[in-house]
Amino acid sequence: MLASSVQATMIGLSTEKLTRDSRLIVMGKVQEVRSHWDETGQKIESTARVQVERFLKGDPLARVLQVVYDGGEVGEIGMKVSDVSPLERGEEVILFLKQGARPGTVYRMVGKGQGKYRLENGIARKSGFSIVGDPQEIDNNIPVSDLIEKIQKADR
Amino acid sequence: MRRIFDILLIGFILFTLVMARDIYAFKIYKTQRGFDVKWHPKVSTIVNPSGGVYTYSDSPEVSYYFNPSGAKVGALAALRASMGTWTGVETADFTVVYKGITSNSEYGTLDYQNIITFGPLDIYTLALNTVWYYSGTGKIVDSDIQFNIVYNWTTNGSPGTFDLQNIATHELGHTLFLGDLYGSSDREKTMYGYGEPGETKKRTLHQDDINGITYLYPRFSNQRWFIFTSMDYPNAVETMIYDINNSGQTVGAYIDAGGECHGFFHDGTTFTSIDYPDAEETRAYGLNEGGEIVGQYADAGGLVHGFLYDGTGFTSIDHPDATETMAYGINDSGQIVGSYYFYNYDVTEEEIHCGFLYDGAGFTIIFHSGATKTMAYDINDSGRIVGGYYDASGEQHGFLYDVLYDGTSVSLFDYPGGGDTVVLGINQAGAITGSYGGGDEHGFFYSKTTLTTMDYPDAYNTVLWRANDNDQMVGWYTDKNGRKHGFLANKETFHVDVKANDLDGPVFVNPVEPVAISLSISPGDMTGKEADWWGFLLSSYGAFPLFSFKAPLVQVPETTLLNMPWPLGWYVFLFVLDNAPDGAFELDWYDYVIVVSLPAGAGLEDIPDLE
Repeated sequence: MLASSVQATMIGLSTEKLTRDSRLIVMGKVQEVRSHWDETGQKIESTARVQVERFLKGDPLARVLQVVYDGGEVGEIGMKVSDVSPLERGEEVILFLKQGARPGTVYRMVGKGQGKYRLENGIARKSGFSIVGDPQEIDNNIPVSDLIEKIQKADR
Repeated sequence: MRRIFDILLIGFILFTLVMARDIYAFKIYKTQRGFDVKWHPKVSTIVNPSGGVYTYSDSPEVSYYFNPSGAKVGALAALRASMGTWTGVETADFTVVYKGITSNSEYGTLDYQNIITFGPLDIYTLALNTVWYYSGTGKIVDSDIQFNIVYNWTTNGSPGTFDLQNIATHELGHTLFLGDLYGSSDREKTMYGYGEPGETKKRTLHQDDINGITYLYPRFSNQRWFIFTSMDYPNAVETMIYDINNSGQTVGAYIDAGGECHGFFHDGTTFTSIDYPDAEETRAYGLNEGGEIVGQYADAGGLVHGFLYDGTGFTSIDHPDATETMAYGINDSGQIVGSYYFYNYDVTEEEIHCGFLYDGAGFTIIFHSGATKTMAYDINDSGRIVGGYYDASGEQHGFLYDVLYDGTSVSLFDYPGGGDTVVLGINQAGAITGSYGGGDEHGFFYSKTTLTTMDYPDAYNTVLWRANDNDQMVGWYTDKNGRKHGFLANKETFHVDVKANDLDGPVFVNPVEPVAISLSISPGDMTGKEADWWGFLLSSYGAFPLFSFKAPLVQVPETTLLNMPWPLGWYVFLFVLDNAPDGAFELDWYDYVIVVSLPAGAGLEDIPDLE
């Protein structure tokens, strides 16, 4: 399956801004993704279970978090929302998270797709969104270690 | 050897089309079952009067309603320009169209109505797009776009603001399901994922944007061929044809040997001269299905007036303020459009030249803001009016005045790179005709995604006035001596059609199901001419010639060539005719159908040689 590709346009968020606006920043692995209708029955959303391997910001409440985002497929119908970069089972990620509408360990990504890095071969990449802003200020295709260092520096 | 090369070549071409996602830089999106998410062809049915119902596919149509609440002046024009940019890709087969104003503000709801709205979004988001699709086929069924009302949207690329047309063109690329690109070589593309305030370069498409949209919505229809016939009023020095109705009746004007100008009506076989009583000159510009004719005449003093002729008598048409009035077009409701002018003695004594809509009771003025002259040339039964206007520099531009939808919306049309465009006709389907090029005039025909130059062969100038709904067009051209002649253009009827299970495809079947591959040919005027006939099967398992021979072109009713199941894989059944009967392969007329044989529960990834 290809990466998501229905996007709108967002204000570009630097790593510093993402860090400041996040309650939690975690590095982990996606265990499972399940799509379902939301509480209103009007929209589809997906809930991913993420096994946290490392907390980069915030106090750990649990080692397994639920991350909710808009879109997914339920039965014969699918919904895709711009700038949301879906999570995939088995994916290794760094996620910038804010508290979801429901209390507890349910979170949403900050800046939709901008708040998700996919980790492959020591490189952190993100995609699936359009932004207005200087590309030089957006960290993409960056070594994971450099990204972590930037996050820690911004969190001081 | 040449034949083998040709087979390999065409196999490569089709393989390239099928596998385009791996070759181009553009991105697409798939459902969990592996189907491309995209807009599907519009399927329509027509009832045959002699019995039966035909089902046929037409170009995918992505239609948007606009909720103006919260939008600034000029927003609709910017959005329509963005739609026109994508619709204008000649190699792709779809249209993005504006359907009208709506009060629907339910952004993101699955209500099967596509809307564009302005409203609040989270602070990071400039614009949002929610798309609903069928997971089993990838068919898009709803798409809404919302622009964040808190941002400063403009339509002129002002620094520090967000140019609506720029972002809307990018957004509509996503609506068509193209993804973002981030590479340093992608910076000039509309689908580049980064932008900046004041940016306008995404308004126009890069070749890779065009390649992407052509992959998703390929245009494979046969080239439009037209047969031109010169038509002159008997013994006339010059003839101009201005209109044709669906019965094939035409009207126009001719110059006789004495240099006098007369109108005429042609019923398909016979010319009849039309002269307003006691007029010095008469021209017949428009007619409707009921046979009513409009035009202009010059009185004894040389002043021009419009007229309506109902087959028995004339009625003069004069705007109450006019010095002179011209009537150019009439629809089946009897609504008449034209232009008039008067001198503004109270101010500068300048000439004021306006278009008008006349409904038999009163006049509505049509005047394009900033224009020095506005002319309304034609109106169809939906009330859509086309015409032209002159800007301050003296250049002429075409317009479409959309009375049907909101009464104020105007679309401007300039033939790309052509200069001095005027739109002279619009048929019931909304296809427009006209000319461009100023002193070196060419005709054009613009229907859905097809923008075609239409020039009479070897003519010095061609002006295409009108088209009816049966692919017949009329106008005039000038010969090498500078004399004008009327012409009628008929679409060539040559047609090749290959279907699988009566569908144009792609057709998805189970490997145990038989698939009927059928062929029909309608050679039209080419009947009897010698040609090479070719059949090929291109598939997951290789390319195979099915047949090749030389024979005259004949009418072939829909005939089943094969009816059998096919194992797991993809198959392209290609039929080609070339009009050089020399045994060498040429792609003159062709059609093909794609069949994908897939067991229940399997995905496209299971197909051999397809990822």
